Amino acid sequence: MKGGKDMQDSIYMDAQDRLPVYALQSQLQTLILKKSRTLSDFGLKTENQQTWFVFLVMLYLMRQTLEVNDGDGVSLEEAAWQIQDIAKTQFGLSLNREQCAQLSQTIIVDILCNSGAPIQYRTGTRDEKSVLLMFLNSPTVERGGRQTGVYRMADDGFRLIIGTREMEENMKVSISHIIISMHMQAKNYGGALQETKEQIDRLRIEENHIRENINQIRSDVLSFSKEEADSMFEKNLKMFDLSRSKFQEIRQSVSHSIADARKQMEEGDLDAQTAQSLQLMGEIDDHLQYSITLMSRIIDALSDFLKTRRTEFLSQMGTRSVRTCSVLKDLYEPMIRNPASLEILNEFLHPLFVRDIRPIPEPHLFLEVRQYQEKPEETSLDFDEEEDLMEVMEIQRRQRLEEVAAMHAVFAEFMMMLSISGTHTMRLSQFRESSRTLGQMTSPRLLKEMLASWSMVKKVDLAELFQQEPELDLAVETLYSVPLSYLNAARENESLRYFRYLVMEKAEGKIRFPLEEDGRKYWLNMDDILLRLERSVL
Amino acid sequence: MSDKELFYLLLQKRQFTETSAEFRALMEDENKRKGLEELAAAFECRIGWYKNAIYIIPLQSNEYLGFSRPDLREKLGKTDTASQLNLRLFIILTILVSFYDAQTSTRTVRPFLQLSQLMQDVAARLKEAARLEEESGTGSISYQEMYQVHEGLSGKDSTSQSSKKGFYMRVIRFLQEQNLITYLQTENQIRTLPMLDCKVDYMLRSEELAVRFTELKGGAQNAHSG
Repeated sequence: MKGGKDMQDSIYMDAQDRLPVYALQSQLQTLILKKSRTLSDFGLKTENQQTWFVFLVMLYLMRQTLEVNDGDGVSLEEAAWQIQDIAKTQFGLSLNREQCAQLSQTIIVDILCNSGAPIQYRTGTRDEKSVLLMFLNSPTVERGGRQTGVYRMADDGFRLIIGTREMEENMKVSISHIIISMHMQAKNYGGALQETKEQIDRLRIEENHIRENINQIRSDVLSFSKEEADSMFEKNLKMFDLSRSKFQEIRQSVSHSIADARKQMEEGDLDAQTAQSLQLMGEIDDHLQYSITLMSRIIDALSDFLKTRRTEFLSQMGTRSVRTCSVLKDLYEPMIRNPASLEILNEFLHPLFVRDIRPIPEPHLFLEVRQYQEKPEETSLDFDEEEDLMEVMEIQRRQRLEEVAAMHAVFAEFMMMLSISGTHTMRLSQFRESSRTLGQMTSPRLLKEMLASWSMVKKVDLAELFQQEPELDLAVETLYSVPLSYLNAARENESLRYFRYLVMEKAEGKIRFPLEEDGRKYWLNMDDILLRLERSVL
Repeated sequence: MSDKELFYLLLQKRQFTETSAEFRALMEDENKRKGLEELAAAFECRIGWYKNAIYIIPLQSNEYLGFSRPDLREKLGKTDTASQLNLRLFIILTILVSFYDAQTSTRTVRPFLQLSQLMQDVAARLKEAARLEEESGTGSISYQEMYQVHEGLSGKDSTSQSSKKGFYMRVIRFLQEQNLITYLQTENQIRTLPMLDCKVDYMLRSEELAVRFTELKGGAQNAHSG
C-alpha cells in the first residue's frame, strides 16, 4: 500500500497544526472556483457539478493509490479515460478524448496540484498562521521506457475524503491501518484506540454482510452471477488478506513500544503520561488482535460464500425459475383480462399464507406420515394445453362438488349415529367400526381433508348456524367445513335441528388409517376424537 | 436443538428471525440446514432462506399448512358469496400490485399505503375491469358483480361487515395475522413486513408457479381474443 508511505510526518508530529476537514474543503473550493470558467467550457455549468466532478476524480485517485498491484500512481492519460467515463455516466456529457485529456489536466494539475505551486492555507487568525497543503503527490516513474509523472493521493487528500466519509465501507476497512499508523506516529494513542474500535465495528458489519449474502444465495442462487461472486470473493479476499498483514505489522510495532515502556517502568523512570500511554497501547494491542481475528473470520466467510454459491447453483437450478415474474404483468393484468381466472387467484397467493397451528390449545390431531415403501417413478399426466380454461375450471368445480358431497355423506352418517345413541356421544374410532361411508372413502386426500377439518373444531353453536342457513346455498358450495356439513346432515335428518351445540374433543387413544397414494403406502396416525351433541339447557 | 425440533418450532412460529437462537443454530450448522430442508420436503413445504429470516412456505399440494379457496373463505368471511370472496382476494392482489411493481420485482416501491388510497385503487381497477369485461362479450359478469358489491358497501366509517371499512379491515386483519403486513390504526396506513417481501419474491420466482403464470397468461390471451 503506497499511500501510507507518502504521509507527511511533519504534519502529524505537530497535530495541532493540522487543518480541520472543513478548511481542506474550503481550500479545495477556492481552487475549483479559480478554474470555474474552464470547467464550465466542458459542460460543467454549475458550482455543484464542478465540485462533484472533482470529488469523483479524487475518489478515483484514492482507489488507484490504494490499489495493491498498481500503486505507482495514475498518469494524466489514464485519468482521462476515467474522466470520460465519469462525464458520460454521471453527467451525461459526451467528451472526446482530447477534451478529456484537457479536463484531466485542469482537474489534476491545475486544481488538485495548484499548477505545481504550493497550496498555502491562511487561517486568518491573529497569529497569521498558515499551513501548507498537498492533496496529491506526483512522483516520476518509468513507463514504456520513458520517464513520466504520475499522481497519487497525498495525506491531505486522504484526510479530506476520510473526513467526508463519502467512500465505500470496504475502502474504509482498507484505509484504517493508515489512519492508525498516523495516530501512532503522532503518539495520539486515544485517536488510534478510537480508530481500532471503529475498525472492529466495520469488520463486524462486513462479516455479517457476507453471512447475509450467503443466506441470500441459499434463497436465490441467481442473486449473484458467477462473475459477481468471483469478483467479490477475489477483491475482498485480497483486501482483507492485505489489511490483516498490515494490522499484524502495526501490532508488532505496538508490541515493541509496549516492551520499551515496560522496560522504562522496570528501570523506575516511568512518568504519569507514559504510564497512561502504556495502558492505552495495551488496549490498542487487544483491539488490533481482535481485528486480526475478525479479518481471519471474514476470509473464512468469503470461502463459505463461494462454496455455497457452487453447491446451491447445482441444487437450485433444477427447481428455480430463471425468469422472474411480475405481480403486475403476469398476475394482475391477466386476471383482469380473464374474469374466469378469479377462481384460481388463491393458488397464486398460496405461498403467502401458512395455517396457524398455535391457536389449537389441545391438538386434536397429530398426523404422522410414515413412508415405508420407496416412492415409485413419477408418472406425468397428459394435459391438452389447448383445452379451454373455462371448461377445465368447470370440470374441476363439478369434481370438487362431488368430493364435498362424499365428505358430507360420511359426516351425515356420523351425525345420524350420534343422534340416535343414548348419550349422544360417540368416538371417531367407534364410528369407524360400524360406518359404511367411511370405508368407501378411498381418496387419501379427501380423508385427510375431512379429518383435519373435524380436528380443528371444538364447539359449534348450532342455533347460530341455523340462523345463517337461508343465506347459504349448499348445492353450489365447494367449501367443506364441519358447520356446513352439519347443515347438510340436518336437511336429511330433522332431529339434528333440536340440538344446541356440537362439541368435538380430543379423546384417549390413537387411530391409524392405512393409506396409499401414487404408489406410496403410509399410515395416517391421529388422536381419537369424541363427538357430543348437547341440547339447550332449559 | 435437533433439526426435527427446529422444524417443529418453525411450524409454530412460521419464521426464525436473525436474532433468534434457531436462526443462529441453522446458520452455524450445514447438517441442520440440510435436515430441515429434507423435513420440509417430506411435509410438502419449502424453506425460504432470506437475509434476515427463515420462512416456511407450503407447496401448492399442501392443503394442511396452506390455504385452499374454501379455507380462505373460512378466514375472510364464512358467509361470503363468490363475488364477496373474489373481492376480498382482489383487495389482496391490489395491495401486492401497489407495493411490488414490475421493474423492481420484489422491492417495495412505496413505504406505506393509505387505506383510503387502497379503497380508491380497488374501485378504479374494478371499474376498469368491469368495463373490459362488458366489452369482451364473453358473457362473464364477475368483475361487474364485484364492482357492484364494492360500491354497495356503506361508506360509513364503522367496523361492521356491511361497511366498506369493515370489509377491508377483515382482509387486513387476516394479512396481519399472517405477519405479512402491519396496519397503523391512527395513520390508517398499511405497511409490508419482511415476510411479505420474501414470500412475494418466492411467488414470482418459483418454478412451481411459473407454469401457472404461463397458463394464466395464455388463458387471458384466449379470453381477450375470444
